[in-house]
Amino acid sequence: MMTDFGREEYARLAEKRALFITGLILVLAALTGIAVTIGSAGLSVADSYIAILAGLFPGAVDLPDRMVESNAVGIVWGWRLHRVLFAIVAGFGLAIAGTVMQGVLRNPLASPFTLGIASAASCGASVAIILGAGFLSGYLVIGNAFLFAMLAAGAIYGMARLKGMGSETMILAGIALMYLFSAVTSFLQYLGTSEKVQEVVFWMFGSLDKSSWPKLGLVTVVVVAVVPLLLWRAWDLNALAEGDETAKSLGVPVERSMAGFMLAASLVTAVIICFTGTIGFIGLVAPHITRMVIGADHRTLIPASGLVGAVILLGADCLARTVIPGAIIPVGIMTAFLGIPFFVYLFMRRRDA
Amino acid sequence: MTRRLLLLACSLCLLAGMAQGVPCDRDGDDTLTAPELATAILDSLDARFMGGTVEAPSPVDLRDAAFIYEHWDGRTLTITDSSGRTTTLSRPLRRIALFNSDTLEMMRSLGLEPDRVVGVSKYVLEDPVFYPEYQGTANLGSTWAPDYEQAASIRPDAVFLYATLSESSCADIEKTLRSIDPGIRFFRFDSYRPATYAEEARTLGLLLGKEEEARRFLSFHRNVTGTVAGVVDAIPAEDRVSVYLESWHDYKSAGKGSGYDEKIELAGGRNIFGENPVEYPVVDPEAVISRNPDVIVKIVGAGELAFGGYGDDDRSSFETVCRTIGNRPVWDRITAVRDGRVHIIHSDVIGGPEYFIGTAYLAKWFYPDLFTDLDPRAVHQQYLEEFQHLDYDLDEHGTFVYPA
Repeated sequence: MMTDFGREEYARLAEKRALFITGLILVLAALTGIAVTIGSAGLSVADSYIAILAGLFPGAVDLPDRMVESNAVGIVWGWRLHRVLFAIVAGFGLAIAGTVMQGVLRNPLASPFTLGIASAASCGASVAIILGAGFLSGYLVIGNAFLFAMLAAGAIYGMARLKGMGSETMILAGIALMYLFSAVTSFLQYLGTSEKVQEVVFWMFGSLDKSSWPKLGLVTVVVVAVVPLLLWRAWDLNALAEGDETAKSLGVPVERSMAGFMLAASLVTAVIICFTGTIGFIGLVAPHITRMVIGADHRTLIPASGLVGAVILLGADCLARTVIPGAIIPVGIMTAFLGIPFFVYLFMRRRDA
Repeated sequence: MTRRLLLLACSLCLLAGMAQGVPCDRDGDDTLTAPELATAILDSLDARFMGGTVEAPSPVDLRDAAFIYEHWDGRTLTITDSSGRTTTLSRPLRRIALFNSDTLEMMRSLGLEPDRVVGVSKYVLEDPVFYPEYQGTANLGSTWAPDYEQAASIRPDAVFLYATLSESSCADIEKTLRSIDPGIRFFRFDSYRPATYAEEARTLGLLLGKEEEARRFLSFHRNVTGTVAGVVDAIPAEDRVSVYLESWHDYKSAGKGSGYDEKIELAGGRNIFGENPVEYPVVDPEAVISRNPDVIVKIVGAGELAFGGYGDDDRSSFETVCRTIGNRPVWDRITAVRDGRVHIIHSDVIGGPEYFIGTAYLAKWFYPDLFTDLDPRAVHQQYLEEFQHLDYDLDEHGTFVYPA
């Protein structure tokens, strides 16, 4: 009797999950369709799509004169498309990274911000912008942001692996790192001229302005490589979420998989935010929203919260590009404006229930 | 109709951009000679009015050919911008987009026709008093938040960016715009640095076909800078007045190698924080008191002190700033305060392309007896009328210095 009841519950949950994920995919597709038509160049909806086709099948589409005049194909292919896709991939990546971090650390506050990864990236970017020093000549800012982020991740990984640190201590260490890197960034800002400081500030806002096809390719490769790995080990995450002892008794090598998960999540985060600046907020909110709707089973939680992240980031970017005509509000700011009220609303509703 | 003409012009420009070489250069030796140009003109007249059947050059080709013959000796022009990049042009620039408003001001000094500018930074559009003729021009945003779609859709043939300011942002803009439209040429100029100012004006003059105007402007500029340098160079180091310079943030001064430090130096002053390694250090008020400057210069025009300049005719705010400095605790002991040598200057005439006007003011404040003949205000008025082509009377409008 009981087992039947459980099975029914599970079937209903599975249905809910499938519905949620399908819904998200539909919303994402619709948003993508809208996003490619938005922009200050003022191309009409039809022109935007003709431009996409013209780029896909060069020579096959007969371009109207007005589109040649406004360089519609150049604008759509050289700017809009990769930006839209970048928003999707970056939102997806940041959200799954956040999901994994929260799962591993069993802490709702875990995110690239609280673990110091975002502020380490900012610090690296500041070193490049203000001191002009870096590791990857030609890509000083990106290279530094990535390396510093991985440095912070490595420090946390090292502490977890070598000292067998618990999740709470890891978060504390992360917050300590965050303050350290923030202090270095502030010091650099003190040294810098007002123009350079402004450049750093704009970098830290987080924006998709710097996307390009090669960058999109790189981020996609990393996300596509990491996601199947995470899904494959999703049961370990579920076990870890029940506590170290439970996980151990289920045969999960706690320290090793914790460190592995952290490394994967950090890598994804670092690869994305080194190009965009800090849009870490998605990593905090998307998993929570998803968990409230479909529960904490990481096998579905990971892809679903990835989709939620993609929807939030793309939606925020669409708004960021249209709210003030002719100006683009940095998407990091827009995500917070958009995501936080929704987030709070979800919390309040759950309290009531 | 105008749309179609524009379209025609655009597609011709596009074709021209693809076809390298000087237009109307029949023998293809990259030099347009007088006979070649004459033939082109005659062919075109023949085709237009006499029903001639010879293949005549398009109006755009002819116009560009005439420009090249007139300004570039009939040859392609190879110029090096302030980032050290060399560009060869076989066509004059007709659709210019500028993220750098300082370069726009310098181009205006050189007599650039406003209709050759198709896009400007948002700072230009926020300043209708100084840039009245550009108020309808497309807004490109700023170097930190550029509007790429707008910048690409206006189809510029050249985009101007800063050479040494916000370098990584400018590099990003270049990369992104190039991926949208590979035909755009990029030029990097600062147009506000004393060290490169004259050279940049000369290069821009050549680039825009305004060599004569550039010569005239530079002689005006040299007249001012030369007068100041001629006098202050003779002042021995120990006799130079000591200067405390403060930006719009209280106690934020200028250290070694900063732009303001350079200008104090040009005007013959000795910056009391000139050895500070931080470019714009926040200094200890006690250090100012103990170094006891002869002159205090406070810059306004941004931050909390965002008043004054071309759009502000109310002069009382400068007076308040000046009084506040004297009222700082124990600052009444500082020589500059005691002698009433606290001066306020607006960043427009010291920070940008008008730096030489500000430098003239500084020199006069530092050594009033040596510069009895120098009238910075008259220099400023001449600059506005003769070179900026603005109908702007400094007696009636604007607030730039205190005491005036």
